[in-house]
Amino acid sequence: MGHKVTQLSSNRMAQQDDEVENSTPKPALSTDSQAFIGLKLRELYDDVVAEPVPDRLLELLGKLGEDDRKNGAK
Amino acid sequence: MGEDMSGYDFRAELLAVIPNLRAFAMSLVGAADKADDLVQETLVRAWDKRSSFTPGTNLKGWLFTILRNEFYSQMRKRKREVSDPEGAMAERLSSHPEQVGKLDMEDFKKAVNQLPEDQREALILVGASGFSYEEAAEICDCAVGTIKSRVSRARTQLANILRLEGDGEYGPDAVAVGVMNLTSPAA
Repeated sequence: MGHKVTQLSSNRMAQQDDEVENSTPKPALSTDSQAFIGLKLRELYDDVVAEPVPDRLLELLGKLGEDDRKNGAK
Repeated sequence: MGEDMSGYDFRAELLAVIPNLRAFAMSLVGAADKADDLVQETLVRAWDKRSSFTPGTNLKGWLFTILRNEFYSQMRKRKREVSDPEGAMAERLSSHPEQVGKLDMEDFKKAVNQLPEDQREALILVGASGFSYEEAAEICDCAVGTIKSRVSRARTQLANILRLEGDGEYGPDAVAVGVMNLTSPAA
C-alpha cells in the first residue's frame, strides 16, 4: 500500500519534471527581451573572441608543430 | 610526408578556433588565466589525438567537446580536493578589471554567472558560439530537447534577474527591500 503511494507520487514528480523540461512555449519572453539577451550575450562573447591570442598559446602551437617537424626529419 | 602536411594544416586550423575556445572557456571558468590554462590543455589533447579527427568535419565542435570534458574532469578533481569550490569560483567570476567602464555589460555578465552551470553552458553554445541545438547536444552529450529547455530556462531566468519583463519580483530592488526589512529592526 505504502509502496504504491510512493510510486504514484514519484510518477507525478517525474511528470512535473517533464513539464518543466518541455516548458519552451509557456513563459515565452517578449521578442524584445530575447533580442536584448541575444545581443548582450554575443557582445560578451565576442569581446573575448576579439582579443589577440595570448603569446603562451601561440608558443605552445609553435612547439607542437616543431615536435612534428623533428619527428618527420628523423 | 603526407602526415607532415596534414599536421601543419591541423595546426593552422587549431589557431583559427582558439579565439572561440577562449571565449567558451571564459564562460566556464570566468578568470582569463584559468581559461587559457584550459585552452592550453585542450590544444595539447587535440594535438595528441588529432589522428582521430576526420578532416572536413566540424573541428570547432570537436575542440569544444574536448575543452568541455577537460573542464568537467578538472572540476571533479577539484571538488575532491577543495571543500568549497563554489565560493571560490563565485569570487573569481566577479572580478574582471578589463571590463571597467562597461557597467551594463558587467551587470549582464553577473547575471549570466548566476545561471546554473548546465543552463549557462547551453545558452553560450547556442546563443553565442553559433552552434545548432543538435551540435550543442552532441558537445554536452545530452538530448536535443534537454538543450532546448536549458536554453529556454536560461533566457527566462536572465530576464528575471535583469528585470526585463513585468515588475521584476526577482529583481535587485526586491532583494534590497528584503534586506532593508531584515536589518532595520536592528538599526
